[in-house]
Amino acid sequence: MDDKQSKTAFIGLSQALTGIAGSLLVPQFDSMNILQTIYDGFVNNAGPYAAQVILERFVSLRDQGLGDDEIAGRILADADNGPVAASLTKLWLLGNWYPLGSQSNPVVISSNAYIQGWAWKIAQAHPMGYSELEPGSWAEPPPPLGDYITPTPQS
Amino acid sequence: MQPTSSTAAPGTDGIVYDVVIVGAGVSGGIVASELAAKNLNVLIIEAGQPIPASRQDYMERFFTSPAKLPEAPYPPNPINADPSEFNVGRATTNDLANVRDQSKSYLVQNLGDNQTPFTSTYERVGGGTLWHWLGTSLRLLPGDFELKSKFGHGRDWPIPYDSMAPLYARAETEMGVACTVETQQYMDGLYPPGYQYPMPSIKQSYLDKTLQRSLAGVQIYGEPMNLAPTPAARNSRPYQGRRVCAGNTNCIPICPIEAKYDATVTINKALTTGKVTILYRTVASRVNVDSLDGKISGIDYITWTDPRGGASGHGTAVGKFYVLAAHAIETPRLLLMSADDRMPNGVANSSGQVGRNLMDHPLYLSWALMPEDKPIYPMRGPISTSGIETLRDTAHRRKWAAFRMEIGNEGWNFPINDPYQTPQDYIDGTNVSQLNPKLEKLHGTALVERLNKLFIRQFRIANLVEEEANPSSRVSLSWGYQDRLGLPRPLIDYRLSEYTRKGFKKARKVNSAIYKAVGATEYTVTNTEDPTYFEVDGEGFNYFGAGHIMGTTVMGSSRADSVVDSDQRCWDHDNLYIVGSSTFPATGTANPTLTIAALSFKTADILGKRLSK
Repeated sequence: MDDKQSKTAFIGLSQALTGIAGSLLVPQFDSMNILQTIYDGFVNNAGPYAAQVILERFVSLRDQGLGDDEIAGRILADADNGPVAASLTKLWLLGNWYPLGSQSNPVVISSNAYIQGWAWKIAQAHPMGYSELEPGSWAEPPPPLGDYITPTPQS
Repeated sequence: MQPTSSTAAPGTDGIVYDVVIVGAGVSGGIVASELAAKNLNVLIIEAGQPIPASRQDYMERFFTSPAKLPEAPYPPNPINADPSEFNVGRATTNDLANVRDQSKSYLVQNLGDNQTPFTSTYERVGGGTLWHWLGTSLRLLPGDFELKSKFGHGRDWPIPYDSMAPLYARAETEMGVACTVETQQYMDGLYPPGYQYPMPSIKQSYLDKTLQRSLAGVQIYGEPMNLAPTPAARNSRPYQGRRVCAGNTNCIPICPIEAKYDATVTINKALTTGKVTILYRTVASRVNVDSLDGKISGIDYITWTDPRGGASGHGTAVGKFYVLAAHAIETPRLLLMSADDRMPNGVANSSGQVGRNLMDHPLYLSWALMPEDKPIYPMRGPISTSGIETLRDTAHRRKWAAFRMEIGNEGWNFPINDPYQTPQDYIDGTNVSQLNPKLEKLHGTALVERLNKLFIRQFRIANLVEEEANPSSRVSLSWGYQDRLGLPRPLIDYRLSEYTRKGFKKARKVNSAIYKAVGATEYTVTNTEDPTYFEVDGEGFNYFGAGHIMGTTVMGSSRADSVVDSDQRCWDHDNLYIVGSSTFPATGTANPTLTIAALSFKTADILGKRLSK
């Protein structure tokens, strides 16, 4: 796979694991350069070989016509790919890379990776230390979860 | 060990300041600002690094820190570092994970004889520990000043509430406290008629409002469980050039927009007068006493350039008056380090009380999940916007330690480090959070929906339990363990009294009753392996530090058993004052900063008067 194919597969794999649309994980106008940030964090920490193996596995399953849920389930069940997929899921949610099979000693990818972590949106909240919400909005319920994790319909 | 260099330090040679202050935090800052406004010359010597030009430097350190602990934004990084290698150490959360390991813990904790660790931390940096305070600005209540005479525990303050009230008002103006007087019903009658805070209360969170509705009419131990918006030094309106609180849920470790007051506000104001000089990276190492008149004649200091590089020079700061404002562990440490043949127990210590009566508000933490049909959507707004204050000053204090209750808006961040733990449990099939008892492994939409359902129902209550003064809980010097400057690190002896332990037992009962009343499911866990573990009547507890380090140079009405008088002047030395919570003879039931600030105004007034003569 060339770089573009790898990144396309990476977005597809990330969508399957997190349940969050690839168009939200990596917005069309990626002004924060989030794709490169998370992709580099993934390749550098998982290692280029493991990264290539899991992306090829994803492409293979996708080419078999399997859906996201099935693909993610199979990859997570792989002895070699499973821990890599788990750490990649954590990376998207938490902005940290956790060593394979570990819940401690994470590597913080960057301040942007922290700020863009999806756990905060899943909580219908904002990263601690980074809020763009209106002052006082905490007094009322937030918008529904769908507003945070559902792509805007294409017009 | 003496400093390794004899290079003269710049800044103080030949100058006699009106006042020399040790410590550039909130108390030293207020004294400096008030005196500078009276055209007096002030020198502050600060052990740590300068206040940065922009807090973005600290924000970046916070964002990229793997553990978002209170000390994370501030230099130097203490993680996996030996405190003997740093010129300027301080107690950090890292200490608490390594209380028995002096190669990792700056505080040397004596855990023999059933003692337990002291678990509050502080900063040694320009601006001091207020960089990571919550902003809570409650006044002490009248009974807080009369713990001994009214309830038979610990010590009284030598100051009645009535004389504190006008000082509190000045502190509230300086710090910009947001509070609507009418919301503080438990304070009824304690404000002067018509009193108003500088701005109205910060909005209560959706969690607060939900609990308030569910607790209407509920009484526990005879008191109503009313949630009052907490007076806080966070802007509900633009104030003195600072922005409105945007609810970043990050008061601790750092407010990203300075909507919360911190000491840099007052220190910057002081600096604009041109009358205040601050020497950073300058560690006070000895208070010198004139053998003829007993007055302080100078404060020796050591300068440094590299945080791990040892001394770069030394000198002596000279003033007409001296103020120690180095917080409740470093202030007694300095006085004790100043011992000599004439004063073998240290400076200001004829009472033998320097370092003794170390106190905190040991914190009982509990946590729960609201029912599925009553989400409260945490992790938004300031970390806390309300508290229950009705059990602070009741007749129960004869039998058990009083406490206030802080309602947390940050989900289970404090108890289990969410939103980090629960996702990992559901990704890895573990159950550290207790929220994944079936050890499920989820992915995709199922993962998102499960996490959402759990996150939006999390909340916690923290009880800040009072302590009574106990001379055996103390800071002394650990000559066997030194910092990079060769100065002895603090040696800590500490234990909770029966009075405080009984308060914990009641705190648990109150919190559990609240969870039941609002239909929440409690998940509080007690760790018997943790060094803070203790038992009351066979019931086990853990405690946390509240970050409220108090006592150690207590004020009193007699020089025989206290270090300073009610003006915070040392009984032993006419020109030496101590400001900060080290002078508190009892912790009371309010977070200490507002009282620290109020008393700093009092001492500044007295110094101003004495210097105008």
